[in-house]
Amino acid sequence: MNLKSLALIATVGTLMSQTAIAQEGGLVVYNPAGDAGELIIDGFREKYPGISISAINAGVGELFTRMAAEKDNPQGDVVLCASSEAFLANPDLFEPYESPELPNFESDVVAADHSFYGCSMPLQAFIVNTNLMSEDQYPRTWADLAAPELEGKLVLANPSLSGSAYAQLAQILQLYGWDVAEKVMKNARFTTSSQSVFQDVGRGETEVGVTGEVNIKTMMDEGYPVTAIYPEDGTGLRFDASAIIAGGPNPDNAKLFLDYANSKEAHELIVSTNRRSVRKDVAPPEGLMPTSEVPTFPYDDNLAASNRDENLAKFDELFAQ
Amino acid sequence: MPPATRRRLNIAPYVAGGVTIFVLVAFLLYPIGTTMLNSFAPAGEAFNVLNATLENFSRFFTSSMYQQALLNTIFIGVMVTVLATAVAVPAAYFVARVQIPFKPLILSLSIIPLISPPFIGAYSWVVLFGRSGIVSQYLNQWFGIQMPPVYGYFGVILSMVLSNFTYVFLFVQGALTAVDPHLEESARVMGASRWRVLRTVVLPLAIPPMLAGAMIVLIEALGEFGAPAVLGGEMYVLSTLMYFQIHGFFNLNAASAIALVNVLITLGAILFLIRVNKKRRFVTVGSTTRRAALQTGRGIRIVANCYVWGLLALALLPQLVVVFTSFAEKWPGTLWPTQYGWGNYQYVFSRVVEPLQNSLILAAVATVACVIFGTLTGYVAERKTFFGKWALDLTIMLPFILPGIVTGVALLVTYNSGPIALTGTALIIVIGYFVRRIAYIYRSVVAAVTQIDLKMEEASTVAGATWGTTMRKVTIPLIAPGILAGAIIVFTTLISEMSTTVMLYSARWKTISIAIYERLETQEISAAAAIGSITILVTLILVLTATRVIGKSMSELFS
Repeated sequence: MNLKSLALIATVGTLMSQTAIAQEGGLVVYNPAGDAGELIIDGFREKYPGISISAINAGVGELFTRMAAEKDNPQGDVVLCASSEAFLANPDLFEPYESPELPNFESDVVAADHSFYGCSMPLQAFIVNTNLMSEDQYPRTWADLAAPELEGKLVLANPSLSGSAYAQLAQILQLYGWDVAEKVMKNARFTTSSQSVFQDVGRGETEVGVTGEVNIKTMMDEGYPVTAIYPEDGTGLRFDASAIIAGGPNPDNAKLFLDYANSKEAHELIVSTNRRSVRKDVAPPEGLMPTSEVPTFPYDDNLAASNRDENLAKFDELFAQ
Repeated sequence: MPPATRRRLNIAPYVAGGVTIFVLVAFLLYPIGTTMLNSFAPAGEAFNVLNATLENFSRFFTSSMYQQALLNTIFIGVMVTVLATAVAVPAAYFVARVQIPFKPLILSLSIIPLISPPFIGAYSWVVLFGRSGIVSQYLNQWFGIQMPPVYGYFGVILSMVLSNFTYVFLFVQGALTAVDPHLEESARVMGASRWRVLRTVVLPLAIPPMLAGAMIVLIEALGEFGAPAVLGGEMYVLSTLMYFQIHGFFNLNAASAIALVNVLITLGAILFLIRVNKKRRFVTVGSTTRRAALQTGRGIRIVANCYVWGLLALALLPQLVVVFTSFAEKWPGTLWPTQYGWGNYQYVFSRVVEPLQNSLILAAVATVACVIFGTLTGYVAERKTFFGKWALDLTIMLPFILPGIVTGVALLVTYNSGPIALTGTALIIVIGYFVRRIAYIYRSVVAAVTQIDLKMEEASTVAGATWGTTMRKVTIPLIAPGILAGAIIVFTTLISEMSTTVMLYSARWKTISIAIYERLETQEISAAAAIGSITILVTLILVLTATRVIGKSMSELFS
């Protein structure tokens, strides 16, 4: 393969002299992270005007399907801020890389082989419509979602829909098991559009939903009658991650880009879009509770991942009843 | 079949046939066939004889969620098809046969429901009829009426009927306009009442195009994801399960398996329709070039106007909500927006021009390709008898039945590497569009050719014209209305094509649907609505011009 030998030569070159970094050529970024990704791409473009960078913007599902289909001749170089569950499900698509930013990351947000690096933290919280519910009625814990008073007042995304949606179910299961989960299922309408969850609560179709905190914060800033409730029994610490696509057309620029995406500067851009950074030295977005104060519980994402098929099969079975 | 004519060797049919077969095999049969075969392979693997498994299908036998989704899909598909046909046929008759003003405008407006920006189109029904929706709130305030929930079967079927009836409407309208008026006049002369003529002459003639349209409605209804996702509540359909497999499990093989079940349902419907169609063979387009007289009675004109405009108003509601939303600078969950203005348009302007240009170019090229190959294959399929005709039918319908993302992945895998590498080019998007839409032209041409008197072509051949000349001078002008209706539908639906594009687009060839999608990803719904509104407006202008210009030259062809 021509590209591979080129890549090899380039890698050897880089090893021989750290300063010989390509600052021209192209770069293709797969961006499922919306505005956060767009800001990072713009920041990189400003820093390296010689590199012509282009982005493919789509959802995590579409981009990972695309990467799998392109495996024999990858068209993208980097994937930016996709949910960690997606990486765990597609382990062989990415290239390990020692980023100089590595020391600034906690080890639990970087892959053991350094094939992906944490980006933002899509914490799941309750979104409550403040017009439809008074404060004393707000659910405060995952267990509260199972209360009979919430019947018909709860909208959730079907856990088969995405990594985030499954994480919600997995958190309830790890905290309380199927007993509570079953009661939550009885209360909730499981939609198949993750947009619908917060849109429905924001527009007053439903009282309560569970979604990523960024969606709630964005709506609050726009003046929607909603508020964010962090479950007191703890939300799981999840993260999004970025990685270099193995065999991509511009491996040197990909490294340059990942270094930038891992930098403090880029993580501050992420924060400016209401997302929480995984870097400890970057403050959370204004108006969001500091990460250290958010009640968390030791969410085991490996356990969640290994039980996934079994849990979802059981969910489907209960759902159909 | 007429006796074979032994005259000078004519290579035109063979060239046309050869090219068509190449296109069908290279772009349709091979990529999609291999992807379909993969549904018999475990997740992430390519099919070979050794790893063959039925694992991906097992849930249809074991999971009641799958079985329920299958039943929902069939129920919704049948309901939407029947209802869409039932509302479309009277409208088509009125537009074709009653004197009502603004016909080109009516035809163009009827296309607009086909451009439904993803998510916001379906969500418009929630904005109007949801629990806190505008209409629901006012009905409640003024009359104390509590609207039933819009979620579930009712909302899904309503929104799908109104966004899909156009297929039947356009096809039937085209056919009724082209029907030989002698048939009706003879019936009238022989003393049949108007009602009897309508029942025994006119409506039966509308059946082939009606079935062609109904087939498309059925397939669209079977494959629809957006409306059930937003309005279905917990009513899941097969496309929901496919979405789970792709987005939640990254398992394309399992998604293909579900798609294959969808294909089987459609195959059953195709066979059923072909049987129904076989029993009815009419020659309706003869040598006359005169159009049927329009009814001018006052009563029928009032009824026709009310019906047609009422239907259009309902069908255009979601689009009106989209346009309205685009002017809302702030709409934070209140009944009405709290601030109006052009801000969204200023914001999206720089993001619109290039994608719109790209969409227009890609859609136009793909439409031309569909017209050429769709007409050829449709003509051959209807006029010639050959072995494996049903296979041709199915091959052309296959990518149309399959969800766009499956077709997109099939092309991506096939043309990503190897001798023909097309990823990142405009060509691969055009091919994707072509294979997904050729069925529209094919179906409408088959329906149109059924109605043409074979004698007219024979007369041309006997007079010494070659096959090519006969096609050009006789056949194509006669089926032109059918082709035009198909072409307009193809072009319009391609402008907002999303699910194949998202697999195949590159930064250079970003389309308008991707631009909308990007704004939705960043929660900028009003900005997405602004791009959607621009798309609707541009498409409306283009289609209106096309119907006027081509429509005029078409009526000249007939005079």
